Amino acid sequence: MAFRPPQCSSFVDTSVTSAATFYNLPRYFLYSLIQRESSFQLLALNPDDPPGYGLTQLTGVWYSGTPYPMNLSAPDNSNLEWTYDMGFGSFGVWLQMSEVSTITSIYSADQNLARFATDFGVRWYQRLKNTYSTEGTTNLLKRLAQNWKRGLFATYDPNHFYMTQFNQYMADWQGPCEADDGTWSGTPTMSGGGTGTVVPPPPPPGGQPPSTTWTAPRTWADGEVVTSSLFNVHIRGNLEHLYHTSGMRFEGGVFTGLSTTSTAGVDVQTISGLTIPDERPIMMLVQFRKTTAGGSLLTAGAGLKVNGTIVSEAPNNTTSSLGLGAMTDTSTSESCLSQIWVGPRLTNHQRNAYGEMVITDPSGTGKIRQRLRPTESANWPTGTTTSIAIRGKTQSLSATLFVSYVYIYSIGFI
Amino acid sequence: MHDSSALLREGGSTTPSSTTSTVAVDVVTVSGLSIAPNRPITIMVLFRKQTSGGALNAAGCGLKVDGTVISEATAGNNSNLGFGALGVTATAQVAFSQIWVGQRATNYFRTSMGDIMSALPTGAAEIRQALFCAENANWPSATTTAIVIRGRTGSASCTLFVDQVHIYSLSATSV
Repeated sequence: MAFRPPQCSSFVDTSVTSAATFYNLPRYFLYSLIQRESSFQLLALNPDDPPGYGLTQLTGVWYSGTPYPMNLSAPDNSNLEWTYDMGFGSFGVWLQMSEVSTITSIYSADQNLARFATDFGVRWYQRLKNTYSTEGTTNLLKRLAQNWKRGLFATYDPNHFYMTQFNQYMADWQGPCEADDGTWSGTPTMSGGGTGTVVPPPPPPGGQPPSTTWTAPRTWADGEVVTSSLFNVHIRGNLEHLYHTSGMRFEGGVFTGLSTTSTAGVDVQTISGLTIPDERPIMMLVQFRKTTAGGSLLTAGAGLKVNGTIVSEAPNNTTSSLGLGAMTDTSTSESCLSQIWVGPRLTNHQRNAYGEMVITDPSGTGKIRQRLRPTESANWPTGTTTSIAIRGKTQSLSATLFVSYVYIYSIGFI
Repeated sequence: MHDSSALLREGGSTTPSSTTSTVAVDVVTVSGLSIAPNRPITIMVLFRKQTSGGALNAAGCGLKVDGTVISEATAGNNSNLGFGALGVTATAQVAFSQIWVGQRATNYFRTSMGDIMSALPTGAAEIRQALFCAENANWPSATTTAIVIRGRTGSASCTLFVDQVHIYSLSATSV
């Protein structure tokens, strides 16, 4: 798995990686700039005048205008205000507005990064490279970042307060990124190899990046010729938006009971093939029960293993509140419903889970209700959750634990 | 939406209904449902009580599914059965209850859980407690077609209002 900073969600990373590939900008530069500008927050808004928007904090209508700079509906390379804002009088014409990507949703990770790259990053780096031809790529990237922060006319100050943390991020993340991507060539491009036409970044391996944009559904007219762009915006884009933002999604489960009499923790049910990004909260419902052959020491409980890590071992002490909980040590049959909620599995928050369980005998008597601690043994792993196993353990061979039904849901976060 | 959109509102009521009955009665009926037994269910209920004449009375809500009273409404002080009950006080109180029900299958007809948060309308004197939602009978194994919120008060000078009911099912299949 390729490196990404712990502050960067996998969702944002998909867009960063895609933009880095498409515009041939180094990932460690984009990570450092985004961390400095927005701390990787998609909806970051600096309310100053002019405001800064989104991941790269697009500031000023020459950068943030929609759909084109200066809020023009079509590119105008000779727009007077734009030519002034872009400093053509001092620097020459270093960019054409017709090269700049469109924006329909400024908080879209893809669109925000594309606007940064096409309205500034690529062409301004090329100009810096021509101007400071003896400087290495790292220094040129630092100049690029400072011009983004302070404006095109600012004199480069390596000791400017903005640079202290930016330089640290670059130092921390360049090595891991280069280990994955190789040394950056120092040649950013506007369209993945050529110049001129700007198209959206290509989809990453494994699928189209999710749309974060909702477009008011079009009212179709009789006889209207439907173009691919209309379909892509109003059908595909909106469906992607709904898919990724829908409040709750069934991710997987099992509905055929399996059992164990093991007095050591074992995997009883395994749900694999999951792809739950670490930003999406998780809710699980697990129904399990025990039968006994009589006697004593007859409790049984269930735990959790995630991506191979036991986050809470199955308990086998009576009415334990660990993991998914344990039943009583009586000789009666009992059934349970346990529910757990797991927050985003981000740095410092890998134990943020809680749960509850109810225990009854099949007739509904002998009820016990208690709260659970589902991550008692280890952190819930960061990164995509790909498999969840329900662990099981009994107190003696006279007890049998059945894990009957498991439902796993994730919850929208965009 | 595709079935993978896991949380589906199956039905409910946003029209307040009330009772002063001191025996349990149907207060809100949500019919026309079609919830397969393998789909988990969550139900949210907003209810409250008003009293007159300084009477010290509780009021509570229960659950009837497809004609079977799963957990009868009680007027016990802060009861934790069914959707729970409000306290035996002379003041108005409000409550939000939510229950979760897993798959309705053999050995699991009683394993449902819930929580109630009750308070004064100002938010003071809050009580949070766990609910046991299948106190009287098994949840039926067949497709759920009707859910009734039962209600009961401690005396005729106490009025129970069931203000809102929302019934959701959760998907059991993915894309």
